[in-house]
Amino acid sequence: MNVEYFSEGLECLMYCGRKLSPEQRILIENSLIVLLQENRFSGMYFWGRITAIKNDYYIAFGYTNDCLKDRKYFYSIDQYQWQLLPFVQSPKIFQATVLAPDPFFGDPSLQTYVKLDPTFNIVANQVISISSPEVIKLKEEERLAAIVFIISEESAICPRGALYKMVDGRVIPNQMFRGLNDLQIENISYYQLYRLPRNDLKTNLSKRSDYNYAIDFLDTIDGVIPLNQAFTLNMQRNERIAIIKSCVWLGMTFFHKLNSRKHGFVYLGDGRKNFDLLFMY
Amino acid sequence: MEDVGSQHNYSTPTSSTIQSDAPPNTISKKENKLISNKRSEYDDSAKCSNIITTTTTSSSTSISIGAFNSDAQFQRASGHEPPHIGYELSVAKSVLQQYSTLTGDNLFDHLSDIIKRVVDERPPNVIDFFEEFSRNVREQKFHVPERFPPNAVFADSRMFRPAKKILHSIKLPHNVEGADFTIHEEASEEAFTYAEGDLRIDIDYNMRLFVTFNERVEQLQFFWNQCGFTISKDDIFQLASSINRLQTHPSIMQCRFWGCINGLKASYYIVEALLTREELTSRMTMMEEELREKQLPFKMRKNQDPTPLPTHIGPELTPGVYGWENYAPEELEKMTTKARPVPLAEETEFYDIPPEFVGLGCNRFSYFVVNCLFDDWIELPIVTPRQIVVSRQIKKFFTGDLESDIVSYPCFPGKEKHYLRAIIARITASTHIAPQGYYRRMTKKEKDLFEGLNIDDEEEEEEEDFNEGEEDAIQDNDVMLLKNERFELEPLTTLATPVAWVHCRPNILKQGRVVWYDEEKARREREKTLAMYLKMRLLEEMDEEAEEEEADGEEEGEEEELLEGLNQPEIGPDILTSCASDMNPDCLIPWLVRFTSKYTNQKERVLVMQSNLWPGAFTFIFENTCESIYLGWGHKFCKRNIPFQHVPMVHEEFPHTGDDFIETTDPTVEEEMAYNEWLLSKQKMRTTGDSLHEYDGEDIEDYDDNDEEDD
Repeated sequence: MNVEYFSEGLECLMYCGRKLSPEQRILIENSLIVLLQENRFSGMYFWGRITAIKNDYYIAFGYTNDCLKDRKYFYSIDQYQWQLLPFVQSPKIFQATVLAPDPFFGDPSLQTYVKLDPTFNIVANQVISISSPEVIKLKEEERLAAIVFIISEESAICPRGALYKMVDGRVIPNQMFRGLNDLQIENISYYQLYRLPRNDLKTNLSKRSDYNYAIDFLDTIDGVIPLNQAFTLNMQRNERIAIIKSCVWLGMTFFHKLNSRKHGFVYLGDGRKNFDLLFMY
Repeated sequence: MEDVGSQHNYSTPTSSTIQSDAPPNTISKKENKLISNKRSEYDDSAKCSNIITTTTTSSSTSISIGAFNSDAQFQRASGHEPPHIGYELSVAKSVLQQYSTLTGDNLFDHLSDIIKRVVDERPPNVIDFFEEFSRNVREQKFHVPERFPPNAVFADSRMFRPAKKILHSIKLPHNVEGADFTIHEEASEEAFTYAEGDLRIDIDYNMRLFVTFNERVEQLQFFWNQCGFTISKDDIFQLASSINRLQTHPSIMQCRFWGCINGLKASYYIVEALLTREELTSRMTMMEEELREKQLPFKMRKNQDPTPLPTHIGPELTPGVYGWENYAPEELEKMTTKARPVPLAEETEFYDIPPEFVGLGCNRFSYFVVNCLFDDWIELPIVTPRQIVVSRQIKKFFTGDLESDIVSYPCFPGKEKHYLRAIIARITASTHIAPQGYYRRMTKKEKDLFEGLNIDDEEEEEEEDFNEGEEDAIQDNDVMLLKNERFELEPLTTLATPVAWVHCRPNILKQGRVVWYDEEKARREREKTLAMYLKMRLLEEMDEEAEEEEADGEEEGEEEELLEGLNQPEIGPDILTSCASDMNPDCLIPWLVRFTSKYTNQKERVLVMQSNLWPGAFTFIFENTCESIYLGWGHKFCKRNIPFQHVPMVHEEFPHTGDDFIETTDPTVEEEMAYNEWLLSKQKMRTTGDSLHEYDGEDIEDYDDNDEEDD
């Protein structure tokens, strides 16, 4: 959620049941503005909170040139001192993060050991061998970085038209964005995933007849698997605000105000994936 | 010009950059000329018509210019005038003003619209979003301010309907006169309506003693807001007024906001209410009857309606014997099958553990839910132990529709409202906590007063007492707690550990009840009553005296006593046990402790306890206010995924042996006719005759098998 309209955004996101206490809100808002200034970011966003046992992690991100490619994530325990989250590349770490059974503890330097799932060697429908499960050493800071990356990849949303691809390939917030209108706001295909597109450009464009190269390059959320089950859309406050909640990452909430450029998402949860989703409908 | 160019062929963005690098206007002008020459050849006729037609755009000057341009072009065609700047300009304009054959727009109007809007509105960084901006302008061409009050159809605004509903629900004075009672007025009013005897008034007054719920939602909202979990500000006022509406209902003694459970399409706002005693007793009598009926053994229930005769009676022939038609019908009837009889589905008796009565155990409180705060409250049904047990094995999203089905394995007995009720019961039992000493148990006198025993017949009271004496240890858990008047708040830092907190709602046993129900005993009782019943029927039939019966009854009683020692009641943690002893193998740290403010507001900070087991359950304490609330999805914590029960293996088919099927020649038409006649005659005999054979069902199946084989 953009720091520009921090408290307003929080008010709108209250439909998930949680928000920040006044002290947290004031500390975070102001320290993020300072962070924005120090790093010369062109945009600063509050990402959310991951509940941990001892201390909660607060996450924010900012960018200078491109709001999809060079996002820099920060975390904070005390809500005013922000540290840069490490960049995780190893796929094993991601695997371990998703599988980690214990909740976050609240100490970034903590090391835990996570047992990965065994791998099965299958030839012609017969299990030939089972490798013993690998044990991965996981530092909580890396785990945090990985989970933040995964959650924002899978469930961060923006309305169609909010992001704009420039001719040189950079993606920036669309200044001309005036919000979705009456007819569009309840349609789930007008919301896009806030990440670098994974689908082919042609597939994304061919989804709609009125496509626009600069806007429709992103993946829309109506194509997220499981289809029609990954997100729920509700209209709130006299049907003026669209609230989208992720069912895969419970705690991820997105809001968009009708006919206004205000939109944003926040994750307030414990960083656990809902593995049971397919059985829950 | 360059931007327009890039707009038209977006796919080649390099062209625009090249043009911008080049010296201004010379090249582009040449290009334009070329284009114009080419186009003038193609569109000569179109251009001529354009001069006459009027434009709809905001630029009013275009008509005259167009006329002027056409003149200029004609002049050029004659080739007398030397080139000069005015002429070039007019040529350029005329190029710009060429009308699209598809849409009828022209570039000149569009550009002038864009320029007008940029100058008027001054949007930031237009150059970066020029394509988007230009698209917008074109889209809104017919929404220009000059056309402002749209004289077309006026569409209902999206906000209109909810707004009207809200207004309607508030019941403003011109609709219904003053429906705005506070609970106090209501109570006193109620007292007056009953005011025949002084006793009644006393009781109602006394019942005020037992109000432990904090009804003031808006006051609580302040604390929730401080703690960082809440429903939205607009909703809270509506919630307060709609709770008020609920409270004024005569059958509700007190209620509080329980929380909110998210659903896929809508979320549930839930209110917990304690019904008045009158309501409870009236419901109780209804429920008792129903339950008694349910606990009766099947045979006693069913015997009234006799089992219907099968519609078709199969042959009594033994499979494996050829030439049945040669036998006489008398002989045929005596024959028995050689093959094993096909097993039939046995009717097993299955008894649910009975639910707790309204006003006791899990059903002590009633719950009211609503999807939109301006709708009427809907009461949830009572919860049965089976629903609680099954709800522990499944995990579902709520849809927001109370009547929708729960598709799950094991099959959930009920609709979504039952599931919701079961989840509420479980959450309440495990997450309602308070500091030690905040609540106290009722004294004996208060208990009697609460249950309204002192005014009832004395006999009843004695009975109750006797019962309690029997199972004192078990009954103990199912109590209503009162606020401790002498509670003194310790400093919050000492409360910041789960040790200092206790559960203030009774634990639900694995059985799904608060008070343990002895299934074994119930089974034995059922058997006894069934035996008695059967004996009674026998006796009735045989017209004998009932002396033996009594003797039998005594014997059974002895057996019972012997068995009772073996049957241990299930024990769970007591009410008011410490939260520190919460046990769950998955969730090692069940409670999180947080202060709302660490650095700034030390004096007025609030202590929050968050449940890890039920994410979304919070309890806060500030001075003398301690409240629990749930705001979440209604899912219990699970380590990775919930261990769903597997569907059982498919049962094996009945093993057929060679004897079961034999090959025969198809019967002729005559034979079939004869057989049918024989069947009919037999059927007639049956219906007029008396009892049924036991083998009927099997025979039919045998016959069917044979049929299939023949096919």
